[in-house]
Amino acid sequence: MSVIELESGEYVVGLTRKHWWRLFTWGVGLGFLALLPVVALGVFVSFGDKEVSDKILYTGGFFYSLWLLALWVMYFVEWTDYYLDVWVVTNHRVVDIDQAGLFSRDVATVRLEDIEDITVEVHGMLETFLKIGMITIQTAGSRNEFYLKNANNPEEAKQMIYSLVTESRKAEK
Amino acid sequence: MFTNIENLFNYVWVVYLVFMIVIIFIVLALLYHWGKYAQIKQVKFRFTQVVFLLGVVFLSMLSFAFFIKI
Repeated sequence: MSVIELESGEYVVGLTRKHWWRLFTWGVGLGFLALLPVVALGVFVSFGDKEVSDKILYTGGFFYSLWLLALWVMYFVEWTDYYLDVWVVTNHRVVDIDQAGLFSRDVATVRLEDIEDITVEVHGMLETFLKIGMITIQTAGSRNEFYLKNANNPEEAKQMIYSLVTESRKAEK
Repeated sequence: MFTNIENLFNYVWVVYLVFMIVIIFIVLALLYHWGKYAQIKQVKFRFTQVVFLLGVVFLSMLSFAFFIKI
């Protein structure tokens, strides 16, 4: 079973998700944590006993490999959160999938004819250069606002949705 | 004191077992999610799945190799 069942005549036009920057900083942080025990061991050997017994070496290696395994899995949990937190834009609607952790998600849909306004907010130098911003859709439906924080290239996403809304309104007339 | 620490090493396998059960649970949860959402972009999912699983298998084998040496 897929999370999105497409209607007849419906096709996916594009996807909008969060910027890779957050994933990158998360990866750098985990890389730092992965190296931390190695640095600590270097300091320990430099200032402490020069001789390290085999038992300590194997035990250290054992716990370090478990540490790396935990970090590896943590990174992919974060990657899953990044990858599945997405707006799926089709020629009929925008599906907002808001993934929070492994077992929590909120899936909401807005039909193109219900979209009233689309706004983009970009604040900061890094955000401007990397094209990171918040995109918000105002709707006429019961849930009157959809937003995606730290979206990748929000201006492009706005243009894509806006042109689909225009086409949809032309087809209605 | 030192003897007590030595004794603790006899129970490392309990820590290892619990840790690996948690890891296997998370791995299965991730694969379930990736499979469920695979319709969106299958190719990238498959590539990521392979890289992820290779990493998990390699690090699990590495930890097991150290474990049997303790």
